[in-house]
Amino acid sequence: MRARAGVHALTPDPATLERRLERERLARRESEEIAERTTRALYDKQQQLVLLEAVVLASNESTTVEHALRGAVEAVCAHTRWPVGHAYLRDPSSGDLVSGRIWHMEQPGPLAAFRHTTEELTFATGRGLPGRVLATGSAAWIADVELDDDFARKSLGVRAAFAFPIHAGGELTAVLEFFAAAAIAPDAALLEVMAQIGGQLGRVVERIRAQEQIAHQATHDSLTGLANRLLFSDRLEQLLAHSERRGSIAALLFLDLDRFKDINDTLGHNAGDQLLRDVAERLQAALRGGDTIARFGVGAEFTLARFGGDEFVVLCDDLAAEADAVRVAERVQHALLIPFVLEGDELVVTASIGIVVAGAEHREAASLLRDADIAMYRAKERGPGRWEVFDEQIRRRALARVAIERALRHAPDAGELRLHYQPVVALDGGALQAVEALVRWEHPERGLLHPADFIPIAEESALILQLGAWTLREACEQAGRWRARFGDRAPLPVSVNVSARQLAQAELPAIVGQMLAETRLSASDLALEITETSLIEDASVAAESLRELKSLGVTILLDDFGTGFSSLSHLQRFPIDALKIDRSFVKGLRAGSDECAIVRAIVAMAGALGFEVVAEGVETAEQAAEVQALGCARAQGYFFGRPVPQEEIERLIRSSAPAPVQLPEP
Amino acid sequence: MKGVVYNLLERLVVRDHGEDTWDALLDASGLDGVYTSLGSYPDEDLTKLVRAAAEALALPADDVVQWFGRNALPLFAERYPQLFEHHASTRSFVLTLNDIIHPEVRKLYPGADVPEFDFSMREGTLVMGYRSTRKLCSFAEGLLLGAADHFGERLAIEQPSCMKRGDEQCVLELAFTR
Repeated sequence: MRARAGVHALTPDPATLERRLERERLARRESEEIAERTTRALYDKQQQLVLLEAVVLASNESTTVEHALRGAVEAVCAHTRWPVGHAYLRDPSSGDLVSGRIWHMEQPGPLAAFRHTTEELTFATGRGLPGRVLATGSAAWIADVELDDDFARKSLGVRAAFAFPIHAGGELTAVLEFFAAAAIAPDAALLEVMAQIGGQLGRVVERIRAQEQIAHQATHDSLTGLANRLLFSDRLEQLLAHSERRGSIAALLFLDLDRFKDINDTLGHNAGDQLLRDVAERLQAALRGGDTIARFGVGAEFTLARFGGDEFVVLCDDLAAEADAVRVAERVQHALLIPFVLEGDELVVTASIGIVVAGAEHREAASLLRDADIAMYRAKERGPGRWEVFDEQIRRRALARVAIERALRHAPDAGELRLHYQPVVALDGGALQAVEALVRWEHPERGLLHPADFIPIAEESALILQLGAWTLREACEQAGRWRARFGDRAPLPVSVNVSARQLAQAELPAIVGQMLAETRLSASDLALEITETSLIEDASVAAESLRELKSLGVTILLDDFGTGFSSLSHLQRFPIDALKIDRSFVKGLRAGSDECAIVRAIVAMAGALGFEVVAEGVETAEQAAEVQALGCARAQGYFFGRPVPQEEIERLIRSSAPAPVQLPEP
Repeated sequence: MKGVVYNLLERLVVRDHGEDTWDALLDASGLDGVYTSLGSYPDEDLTKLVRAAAEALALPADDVVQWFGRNALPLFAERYPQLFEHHASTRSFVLTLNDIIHPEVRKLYPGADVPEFDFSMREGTLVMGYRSTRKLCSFAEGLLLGAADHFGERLAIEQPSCMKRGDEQCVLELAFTR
């Protein structure tokens, strides 16, 4: 080594040194360039992360799509130093892009024309910068818009542009575009970051939409899309809270379709649902029709909601006059006049409407809704397709109803209830054969009340069950006493009226069985009277209950026959012993009258089915003779005897008077 | 001052005046001359080198700085071509200084103390305000002239106010012609 080193010159020639120096210089340059590239890449990456973080932060705090897009536009402008940013939204109907009027502008003044032009334009797929993004579904860059073939907004102060899409739920839903004042070459790295931002925003839009959908579902009726009770009550509370200060006229309409249950039962629930949707549409159209403003004043505002079932409510705010509430109700009823078409059939639907004008007494939404509801029931009582304005008289009537219901609750325990018995006689000879038990209420203030005064009120609640049980026990006990005292001469069975609600109870046969056991009454001494309409309500439960009662040995009577809609095949399903022809047919009985033909037909039909026929409401000797001639075996009515206390019946038994009994009403 | 500036100066001096001249300038300034592009070095190193060059060439220091700027620009253009593409004129290129060129500089040199510019138009001339603690408006003038050379234009510069004369900022009035 030493020897070899000696061979070479210790001081190299200048050319060699020059080469070595140049090598070193180039190596230094190269390492500097590598360091520069790495530094720049690191910086870009860092900036991208800061930008992504800013977008994530802004969008996570957003509760609306608009807010999220605005935050993104601002973040992108801040980090790219591009002075103009703008967001387009996709028009759901046309699929075109329209300005979301979401902007970031460092200097709005000189770009006012650009902004105005942008907001006026609509971009179909392929058209202009946003249309290009819409067509490809990916980002686009224009280095200089002045040199671009398809850029409508030239010479308005912008030069470079890029845009990128936001996809949510697999659909392009928005496009963001950004502009610089000078021409700038495409930057692939920047567009890559924008694609990531687009992805992030897409997820945010999906999240916000899901939240909005949940909020919408919580406050809207899923069938019709109308506001639901929750949202409506909220609006109503707000209105009431401010109405005093504003001094405006507000009214509430409570609307219930007439006979909707029949439609549902006859045509099925699908048809019923379709009808509700159609009705909702008609109501909406009626309330926002072009002439609504002309009719009800510029400020008039209507909120329509569905409360479930066939109940709709309309809140009318800022009416010009109280009378306008009625005009709104009439307009709504008018809108329903044209028949609906359901599964090819035309259907006429009417609505009963209760109207209440908000007054000083309505501090709470609940009271206003209650009054409108009461008025609606009043309207319904008067017949289908009516409206009724809640007033002092209706209020008094409703209060009286509530008072009766409250007092009736205590009547059995207070010993205020009595049973009266109406004779049922054999038309051949007039012998007393049975009785119908009828409840009377000795009201502490109002005196003796007849069933019509309080049974309908009791039937609206479970009170009827309490009342029915009391009647049943009382009648069974009385029948037992009569059987023990008079033996074969006792006018039994005693018949007891059973309401629809009682019949709908699956446990009715068990209750009756227990009652018979407790009072030690033979089942053959008890008859139950049921109405045709209560058989229709829930036919399968009714048929089952009646079969069980029948197997106990209880007699089953079909009351008020002819007023319902029973068909022969329908009646055959039920184990019925006798029909009681409704008093309305007996009342019009004269030789050759329609009623005559009807009664004759009923008797013939009943004979064929093996039912006995009892005529109700016989008030004259002519009627008695007529029903006998038509083939009825038994009858009841004032001609034979009014409902009387037990003692009167006992007097009758003892006298065993074969002739018709004439007793005064006590 | 970033090392890249000294690297450029070295390249230009060596190209136009030979390696010995650069060694002589370093010797005259008492500097060792170790500059790497990404490093930062005292501003006064540049002042010393310029002063030494001005003495050697018997020229005003501002002329040396302007010569440096004008000749440095083609080297920039060679090294960062993407900043020059898409511009048809000096004017449009110059207008990207604040928004594009200096942000790029910051990418390489975080915290770089780049000058601030503001632009306005007055009767067809571009009025450029310059503000920097280094008061190197002559370097800016040189770079502007170099840019005009790059885009094949002629540039006349008027400087009604200058920080070196005690003004708040330097104002350069630029009139471009083809």
